[in-house]
Amino acid sequence: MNCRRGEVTGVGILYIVFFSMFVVILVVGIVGGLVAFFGKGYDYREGEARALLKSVRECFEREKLDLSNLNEDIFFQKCGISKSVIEDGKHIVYVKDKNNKEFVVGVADFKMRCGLYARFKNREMPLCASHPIDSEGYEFLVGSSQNVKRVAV
Amino acid sequence: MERRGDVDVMMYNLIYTAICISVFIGLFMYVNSYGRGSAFYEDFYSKEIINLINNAKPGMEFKIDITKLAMIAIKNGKPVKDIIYVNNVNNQITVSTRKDTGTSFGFFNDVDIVDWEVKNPSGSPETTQFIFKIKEKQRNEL
Repeated sequence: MNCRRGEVTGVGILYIVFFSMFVVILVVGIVGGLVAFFGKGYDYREGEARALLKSVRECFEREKLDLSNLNEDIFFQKCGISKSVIEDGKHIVYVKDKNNKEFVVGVADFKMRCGLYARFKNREMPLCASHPIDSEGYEFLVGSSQNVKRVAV
Repeated sequence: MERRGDVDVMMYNLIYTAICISVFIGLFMYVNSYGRGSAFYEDFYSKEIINLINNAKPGMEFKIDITKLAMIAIKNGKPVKDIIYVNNVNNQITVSTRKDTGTSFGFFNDVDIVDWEVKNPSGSPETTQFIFKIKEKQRNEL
């Protein structure tokens, strides 16, 4: 007679159930802990885009900038906007005049991403602020996808 | 046939699961208490300060109440005067209530933040303020 006390019917299924519970608890614990510790913070992308739009519009009105002889360096200096921040891969400034001449700094592809529905929930995508053609014939589109960075201090 | 192994296996699994649940509940409480909202308030205050800077003009001066940050920093053992750091070269603000990490955010307004400091006018952390002035950035003409 084979004495096989180690093998018991029904325990295999129980073991799978307990192991699954363990995995679920592990995942919930880690995810819950990360969310509790890091959180998501509030979404400042649109707020930054609006502030940047206001700054750019005021600059074009004040300095009477002309897209036909405007380059990046002149734009950043005249408008008092930081080149390193705008060209960090998380911003776009797009201007078009009445002659359909365009001026873009930052991530040009954001012009398309500003229209994607996923941008509201996905914080890696930009939220944008725009202004239709004004009295000077300029059309503005500004976007930001900047989020906070965790750094060592 | 005597099969006592099944009862032993089940007891082992029950005990093992109970220990796992206890460990992870304890872990979650530890992480939650360790955070004390540090990440949340660092995120909040960094964005609020950046919002002020982005909308500011040279010559403006600001005093911001950061009592909440100071209280968290004290609990984490961080000196209050080191809560906020300004980097004018890269146009960034770093807010830190923990000893080794912080939260950084950039401002697009190309100005210099000068005379910045964290101070307690009354000497207690319950009236902690972050004070700074906006000055035009020094740059070379094209």
